[in-house]
Order: sequence, then C-alpha cells, then structure tokens
Amino acid sequence: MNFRDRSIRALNRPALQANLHKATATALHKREVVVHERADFEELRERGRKIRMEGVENLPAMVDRYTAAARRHGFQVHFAKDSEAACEIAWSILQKAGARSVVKGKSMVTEEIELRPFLERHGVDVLETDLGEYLVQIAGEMPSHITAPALHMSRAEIGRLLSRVLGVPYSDDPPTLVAIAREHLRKKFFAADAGMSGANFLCADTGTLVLLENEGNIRLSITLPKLHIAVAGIEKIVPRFSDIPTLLALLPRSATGQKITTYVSCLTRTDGTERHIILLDNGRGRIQKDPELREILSCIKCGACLNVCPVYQRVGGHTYNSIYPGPIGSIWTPAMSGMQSGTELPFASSLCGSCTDICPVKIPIHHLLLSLRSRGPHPLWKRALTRIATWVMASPGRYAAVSHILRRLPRSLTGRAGFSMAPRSFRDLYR
Amino acid sequence: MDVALFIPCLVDQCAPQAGLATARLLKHLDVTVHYPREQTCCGQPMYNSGFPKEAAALAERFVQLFSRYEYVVSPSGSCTGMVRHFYRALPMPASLQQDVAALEKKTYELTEFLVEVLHLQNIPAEFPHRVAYHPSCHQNRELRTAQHSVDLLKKVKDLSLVNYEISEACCGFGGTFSVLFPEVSKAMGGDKLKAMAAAGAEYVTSTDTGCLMQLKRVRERNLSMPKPIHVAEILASNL
Repeated sequence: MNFRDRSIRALNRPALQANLHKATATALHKREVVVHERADFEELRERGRKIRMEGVENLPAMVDRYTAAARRHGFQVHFAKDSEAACEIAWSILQKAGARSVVKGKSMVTEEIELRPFLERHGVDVLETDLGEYLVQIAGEMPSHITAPALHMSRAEIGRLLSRVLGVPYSDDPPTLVAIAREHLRKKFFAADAGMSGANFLCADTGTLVLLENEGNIRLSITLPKLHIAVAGIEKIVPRFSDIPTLLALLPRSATGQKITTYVSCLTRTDGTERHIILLDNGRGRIQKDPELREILSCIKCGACLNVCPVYQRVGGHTYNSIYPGPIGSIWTPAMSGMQSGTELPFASSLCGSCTDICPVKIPIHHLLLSLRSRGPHPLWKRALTRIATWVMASPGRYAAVSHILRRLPRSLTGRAGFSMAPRSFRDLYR
Repeated sequence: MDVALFIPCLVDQCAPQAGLATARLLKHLDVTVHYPREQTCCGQPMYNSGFPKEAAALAERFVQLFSRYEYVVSPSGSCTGMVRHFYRALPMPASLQQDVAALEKKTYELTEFLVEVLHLQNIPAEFPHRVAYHPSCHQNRELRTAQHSVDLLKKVKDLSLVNYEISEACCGFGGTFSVLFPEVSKAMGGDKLKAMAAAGAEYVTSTDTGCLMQLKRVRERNLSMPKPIHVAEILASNL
C-alpha cells in the first residue's frame, strides 16, 4: 500500500477526520494565542535558529564537549551508530543490572530505533507512561503525531480501548479516563527496575539533560528507579545551558500552545542514581555533512508543522507510514535513510509553505522537500514524461503543435490529467 | 515604460482571458506591452517534480528571451515566484548569472506591478458581487505580496470582499500533487470552497490559474459554490 492508498482510507474514515480536524485546529488556535503574547516571537525564532544551527554546524565538537561534561558529572555516555547498536547497548545495561521491568517516558527516538519491541523480545517488561503513548502501546499502533501520539483517537475510542484492555467500566469523560490510566500506571513506577527517557536538549557546556513534559511521568520514570537510561539523537546537543530559555520559549508555544510545560526537568548530576546516555547517530552524522539537508537536524520536534499542514490535517500520521510523520517526517525519513525509504513522501505535499512559516527554528521545510524530490530515484515513466515535456517546451513550434493536438482530444482525457484547454490559446487570440 | 508579458503555459492554454485582461489593463495604463511569442514554459513543473536539469534548460530559454525588457509582468504569482526565487538554484551556465539576478529584480506578478511600480490608485473596474480572495501559496508565502491584490480588489467599484475561515490555506493544487494524490487534493479544495460559500461568496478570485482550475474542478460537483475568476479579469472588467 502506498501513500495514496492509505490517504484514501484515511479520508473515508469520518471519525478520524473529525478527530484530526478538532485536534489540529485546537492546537493551532492555542499556539496562536501564546505566540501573539510574545511581541518578540520573530526575534525568538531567529535566535532559536542560530542556537540550533550553531550546534548542528559544529556537531562533532559538540558531541565531544557534551560527552566530557556529562562524564564529569557522573553520567555514563555511550555511542550508537545505528538503531541496532543503540538497542544492544540499552539491553546490555539492563542485563548487567538485572533489570526486568522498565517504565518509559515518551520519546520519538526510542520509536525510531524500535527499542520497546526489541526489549520485549528479550523478555523485558516495558511500560509506556505517557498517556498518549500508553494508549498507542495498548492499541498496538504507531504514534500518529510527534507530540500527541494518540491524536488520531477520539474520547469514545479511548474509553472503549481502556475498558477492553483494563476491564474497567466504559467512560468517555476525560478526567475519568486520565484517572483510570493514572491508577494503573502509578503502581508500575514503584515496581520498575529501570526508567527510560529521551531528551529534549543536551547542553554541551554543562552536560545537562533537559526534559519537557506535562504529565509528570517522565520525572517519576527518571527519579524513582535506581537506573536511568536516556536515548538521544546527537543533534539534540545545544552549545550552552544559557541557550535553554530561548528554546523553552519556543518549544511549548509551538507544540501545545503553552507558555511552558508543567514540568521542565534539568538533570546535571547523577545524585546516586546510575544514569546512562546513549547518543545515537543513525544517519545524522552523514546528514550533518550535507550543507543543504543539515538544517533538518535543527528540528526541535514540536510538531507544529504537522498541525498546520493541510495534507496532515486530512490524512493523519499513520498515512505517512513513517516514525516521524507530516512535513518534517517527509524530510527526516528519506534523508536519514540515505533515500532508501520514504522517497515518495517529499511528493506528498502541495509545497504550500505553511510548515516553513510556522517552524519555530525557521527550517525551510518546503524548500528541503523540493530539494529531496530531485535526489530520489525517479520511476521510468516520470523520467520519460518529463524529458518529452521538456523537449516539447524547448521549441515554440513543438509547443504549438502539441497544444493543437491536445485541444482536439476528448475533454474527458485532458480533464483527467487535471486541466481543461480553452477553445483558443492566448497566443492565437492576442494581436 | 516597456513591459514584456510573461504568459505562463497554463494561462496561455487554459485561461487566455486572464492573459488578455492583463494586456488590456496594462495598455489602458499607458504601458508599452510586448508579447515575446517564443515563450513557452518557465520550467516550474519540471523543477517541482524533481528535475532541476530539465527545468534549467527551459529557464535558460526564458532568461535569453526576457532579459532585454525593462519589466516582465505575469498574471501568475506562482510562475513569478519560480523566476524570482528558484532560478538561482538551477544548474544554469555561469554566464547567465547576471541576467538571472537582473530578472529577479524586474519580474513582477501583475497586482504587485500595479501597486509597487505603477502606484495605481484608481481601478477602472466595477464588479457588483461578493468575492472571496484566495491568496495562492506562492504569492502569499514565496512572494509575500498577497496584500497587494487585496488592496486593489478593495478599490474595485461595488465589489464586496468577504472574509472567510482558512483563507490562507492551500487549495490543494500543488501542480503534480493534484495528479499524484487527487483525493487529498480535492478534499483540500472542497474545504476551501465550502468556507468561501459559507461566507456568502459568489466568486472566488486569485492571481493563479492553477488554483482557479483546481477550484473549478472541485466545483463541478456542486455548481452553487463560488465561481472562479482571475484577478486580472476583475480588474479589467470595464475595459
């Protein structure tokens, strides 16, 4: 099944359409309100971009500086070149500690390396503690949004899901649903052998790990168990701890329309807990060397480009069949895989540019999509068609002849290709 | 003042009346209008499909044809955007660089030209209808000149411009996007038309024929929806 097939399926699901419309419109509206309050938001975006690009442009040095600082403060830092290596490192840490159960905070990078299924295959009990992520886990689905994994589900669907899995009475009242999930999750925090998290930012000068959340589950996951493993893409490193306030002003505003998230955890010391950081490359180092595509590494994973994208708004995250969906995912996935997967994704955009306009760190998203279109392998029919069209357009005589022929074809044919020819052309009419 | 008409292939073949209105309007404003008959396509469809080399071949023709004129004016925000923002990224001979840079400065979308160069105050037009303006994404987010069209439309006698929801959203055209993913494309266009209809619009106008054709196609399912018309046709309605 390709993007088009999946998009048709999504368009034909009225419940999904309603969920998507409501969730994205609400997120955009909330963002608008808090962005409006900051008269200097454009300056903030510019500063955010500078901070992130400074990190990206000096990435190898940043990794060294961060590693030294984190180790100085007692963190054990590991490097993983790909998903497999990262999973193996996490597994060996857990094995050494004899850990069999893990509570996990929401993290896109652990989705990227498919850590949960890997650990489950090794007999580790992994529980997602973010509510949305938990719902997606028990439904056996993929997250459909970067910051709101269960965005595609309605209250009623969530109610039915919890009732089926936990055997509780059905309810579609949000506070009741949260209470049910919380009751179930709380018990697990105290029993877990290890906690896992991702990272929003890593500071190169202080070695600080910064984590943003609203539910408090990440803080519990990384403080209650005596073992903490964080997985982070190397691009999460920012030059200085003093850069964090700018990024904090941008990220929650863009992601959830909040001035700041309920919890912001900054971990600089290990305070008696065994703490590991797994730094993941998985294609990032290669992208960093590409002067054009490297901008993608400055992404702070806010998800605003998904909310504003007219395609995402109608097809939802699962249609992209990519860990990172939406406009940013349509760059991330093909770029990270070296154009091995997701190569149709850059075409699944009308290039309207609203993603670029909303991006808090000013990534020229739709221009990168355009650039990626020229990098992938083209199907033969497309190459042939483009060459013929170019050959026709290169000569006014051929152009006139072909348009003459097209004008004589039945309208149903040209109409299907998307255009309806006028009875006479401008060049015929203009004297 | 010498102006070369840049009539994109889509206007030439599918919406000649928009090109004719552009010419009438400019002539009425005492501009000397040229129409280089050798012109075909600016190369945007090739570029957007991922073929910069093929696009460059057509861009080269364009540069050679249009460089000699004082101004280049087009009834299309999209094709103007191609020349102004994307030609520089194409693999063209270094000898053309100067000409490309010069064209970036003298190529204008029609309403932009009327406001920025001609400083037009009075519009010789009347259009007694409720009109929804659809800013094409290229005009709005590449050229960033959508306001010019709005300002001009406001000056048209008896025209009432309606405000509507999602007014800055894409109509779903996107060139090959609408061919590769027609269902999503139509859903986008349908929502846009519905929002305009809900606001009571009789017509929808835009600077871009691609968008207007897309909306026309979507409208075929429901002819009570607003009727597409090019901005140039409204502005030249009395000429």
